[in-house]
Amino acid sequence: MSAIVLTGLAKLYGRTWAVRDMSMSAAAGSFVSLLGPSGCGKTTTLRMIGGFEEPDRGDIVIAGLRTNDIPPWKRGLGIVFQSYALFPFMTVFDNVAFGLRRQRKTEGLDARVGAVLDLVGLGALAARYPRQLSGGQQQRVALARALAIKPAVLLLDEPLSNLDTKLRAEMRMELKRIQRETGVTTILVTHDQEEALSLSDRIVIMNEGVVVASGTPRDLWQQPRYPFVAGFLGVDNLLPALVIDERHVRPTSGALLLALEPDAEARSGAQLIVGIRAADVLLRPRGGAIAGEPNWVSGVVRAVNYRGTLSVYMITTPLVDHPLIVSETADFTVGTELDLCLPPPCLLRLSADPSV
Amino acid sequence: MKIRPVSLLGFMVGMVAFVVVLVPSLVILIESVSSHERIFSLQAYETVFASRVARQALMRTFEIAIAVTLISIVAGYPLAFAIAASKPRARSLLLACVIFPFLLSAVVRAFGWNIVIGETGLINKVLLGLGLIDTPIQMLHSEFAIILGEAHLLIPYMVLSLLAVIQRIDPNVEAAAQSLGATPPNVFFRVMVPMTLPGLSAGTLLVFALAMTAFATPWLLGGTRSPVMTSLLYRYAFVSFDMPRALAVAGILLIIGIAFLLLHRAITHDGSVREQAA
Repeated sequence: MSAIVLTGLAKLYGRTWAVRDMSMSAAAGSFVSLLGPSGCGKTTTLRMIGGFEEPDRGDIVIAGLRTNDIPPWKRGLGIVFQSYALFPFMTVFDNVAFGLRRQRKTEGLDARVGAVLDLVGLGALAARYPRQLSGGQQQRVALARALAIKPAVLLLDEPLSNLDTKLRAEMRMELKRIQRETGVTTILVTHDQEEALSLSDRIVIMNEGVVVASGTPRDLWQQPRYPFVAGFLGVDNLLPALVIDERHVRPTSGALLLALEPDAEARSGAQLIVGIRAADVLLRPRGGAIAGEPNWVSGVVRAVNYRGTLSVYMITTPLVDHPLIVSETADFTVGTELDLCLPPPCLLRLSADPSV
Repeated sequence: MKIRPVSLLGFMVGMVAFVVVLVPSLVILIESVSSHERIFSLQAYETVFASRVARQALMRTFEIAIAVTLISIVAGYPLAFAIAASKPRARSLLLACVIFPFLLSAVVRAFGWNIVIGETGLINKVLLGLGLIDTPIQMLHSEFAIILGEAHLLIPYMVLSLLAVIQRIDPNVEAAAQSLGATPPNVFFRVMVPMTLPGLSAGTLLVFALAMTAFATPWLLGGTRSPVMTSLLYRYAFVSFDMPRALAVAGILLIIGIAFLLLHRAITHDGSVREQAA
């Protein structure tokens, strides 16, 4: 059964639709991410689920019950904000006990609060005030406070954005562990594709107030289908092209053909966009092209961006009129002439429909 | 040793504060406890407290100050929250409305209240016209009139003190409390009031002190039948030229003011409260 179902949700701010048409569902116990750029409507969606914004259209059904008209304090949802939003004048214990006290569940309160604090690894800090904790610890308190009431759904609004890179990676693992242990249905709002990919059972990608794609992290990564989705999931090179036959396309700004994995539905003359990730392009010194293999072209390094474990290169090719973005562990200097290959299995067929 | 310009400036500011604030207060306190015969004497205070009029004036002054402070709290919270929650345009309009009374002198405002609550004022005219009363209600020259006038004067101080704190509160705190099952009254009393305590404390101190020491408003709206401490002070100092008693009244007002300042410091320097301001 779905723990939460949204159908045709929409929200108007002034004269612009913050959310135009939002439908999704989350299976009980699953972890779903709403992924999109800022202003795509993901946070507004979360606020509507929480009851802090009233939808102008559509329904919110939580555990089989339509909750549109139920006020936030009766929805029984747990929310963790990017800003933590802890009660600064209360100890960690009182912060976590706040929800239980409001619900008059004071029997076994100490044990329940203790158990939740242990779950997030803060058992020893119950008597501290939020100001005496680090950012990561405050985030754990916020999580414990939301989990204490055994929420029907846990809502996370960019919870890791305020943490530094190292701590963020650590909290990501913690979040996944805690979600697995509690089995709470979780909806995460984020603009960080890596976060969404590593945490989610399902990802819902939003743009301009509508859902543009949804699926498992693996499916979306391997088959983004639309340029926007591909761009958001780290597909750095998008080449507009024309279909020649089942196996070949010609980038519109070049004269060379590219070979792709065969697609029986490809119609000659149709437009599409070919995508490839920077890491999937092979780079070899000039003369390193393997004879008989498709999609080898010559190129010249125009710019280098050193990133430590690898370097990102801007390379001009006869394939397209703008440079390709390629990442490689090997070092090349600007001006180096290279051979590069776009392996057919790594080339993604994306819709050229401009509406998505 | 080189004197840094910053510490020099700090020293100068301290000296000015000492000369302008501390010295006159100390002079009043010292003068109020000295007499011709003895170096230290509480005789002036004794004569003041022996007078029934003076005792009543002190009680009345306290009553009025407490009433005005309570009214400003009850009116200030909704106003401050409404201003904080409104959109930028509405906010600047509301703020202008709150600040506008500062631009009028207390005399002008007292005169305005005369027009509204006087014997032939607006309210009496309407009530008489509607036939609800036969004779005009005596509203002017009463404690009620003083409280009304001072509340009007001092509510902005409370609103601005609260607003300064409310604007720093993360709006998600309210959302988080609601999601945890807190109803709006619960959110207000269990979360917002504790979080706005520093503003409430500062506003209360300001309003109470200003209400205790207000002169023009009680003088103009209270008439001679309801003297307060300041009007008593005026009468002793400039009508009957009884300087020892005038000094004693001034000393009483000063001591009350200092007591409240210390109370405020004690509250806001308590760790748990200062945290909310941070």
